[in-house]
Amino acid sequence: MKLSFASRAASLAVAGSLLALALLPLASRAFAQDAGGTAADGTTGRETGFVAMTGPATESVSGGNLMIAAYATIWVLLCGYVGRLALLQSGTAKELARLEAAMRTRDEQEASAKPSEPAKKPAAAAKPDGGKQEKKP
Amino acid sequence: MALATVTALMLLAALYLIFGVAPVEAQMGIVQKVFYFHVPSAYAMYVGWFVCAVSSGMWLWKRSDKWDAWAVAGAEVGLIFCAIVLVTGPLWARKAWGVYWTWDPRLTSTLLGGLMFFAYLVLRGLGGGGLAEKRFASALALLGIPNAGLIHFSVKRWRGQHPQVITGRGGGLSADMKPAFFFALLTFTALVALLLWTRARAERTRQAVLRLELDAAERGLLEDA
Repeated sequence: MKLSFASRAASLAVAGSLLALALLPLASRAFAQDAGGTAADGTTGRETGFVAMTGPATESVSGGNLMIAAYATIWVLLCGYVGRLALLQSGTAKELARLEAAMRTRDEQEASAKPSEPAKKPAAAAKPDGGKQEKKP
Repeated sequence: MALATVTALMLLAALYLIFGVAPVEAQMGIVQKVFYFHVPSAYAMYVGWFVCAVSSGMWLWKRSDKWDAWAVAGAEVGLIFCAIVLVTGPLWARKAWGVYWTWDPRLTSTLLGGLMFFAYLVLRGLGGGGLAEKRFASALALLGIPNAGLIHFSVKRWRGQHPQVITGRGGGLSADMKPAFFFALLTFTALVALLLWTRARAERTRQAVLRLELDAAERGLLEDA
């Protein structure tokens, strides 16, 4: 079943409203906490006393895992950069090889054209156009 | 090649000193081991940015391709080390401060510096190598010098959360931790020199190939290649 844009937007709005309603008790509890902490002299609860937290008393994040993540990042970044440098070098080497091949081809073409010139010259001189056609590569 | 081998061996020796010799820090525990690569990375970042800024200034003055290559190398290498600093720092901070990130003066100015040199590289990469783009990028790199100073002195001036362990007077580093730290600093000096030299050399070769390519295209050599 395909929903139109309007019906999709309406269902999204309904879902959003339900979520907001569900979160409302949490927000009201937070506001109540803040208001309840204000003393007669204007200070808040945080300034006049400490309340014990509920839940795990120890730090949940492992220092060893954070250290492993840090060193792994260093190695990944350094190795990645060295890999990039290698790619750059190989790309340049390929480009250089392409240029060399192009130049070699041109040199071979020129070399194969040169020996035939002296032989053709006398014959070209005998032609009516002065050998202009022969000189063109 | 010799420098690369020496640097690789030094990296292995630094790891041995960090994990085998240096003691675990009393309050933060094992996560403090991040310090031995975090601080040298920050130092390498400064070196890269300094090379970029000085080379950019020299390029503006001399207009030589050699300085342009060193400027690109400095920006790239500096940015790599900046990324290391900006990733390892928050991972350490999560344990030390309880949060990954806080808008501390040193952290903020380091991020700003990283964004500046990232902008430099984007400009160089997308600008097509034109003279105007190079001039603008060079000016941006020169702005990196005051920002690097700002990063360094921000801790003293504004007293953020970032610790100031390494000072001119030796700071608060335990004597047992010093060999690992100073050896790591030496290792990163070799590493940054190696990366800068390799990148600048690759850029010089690329410049030479581009010149050859242009020359070959003008002579009509590239049509059948």
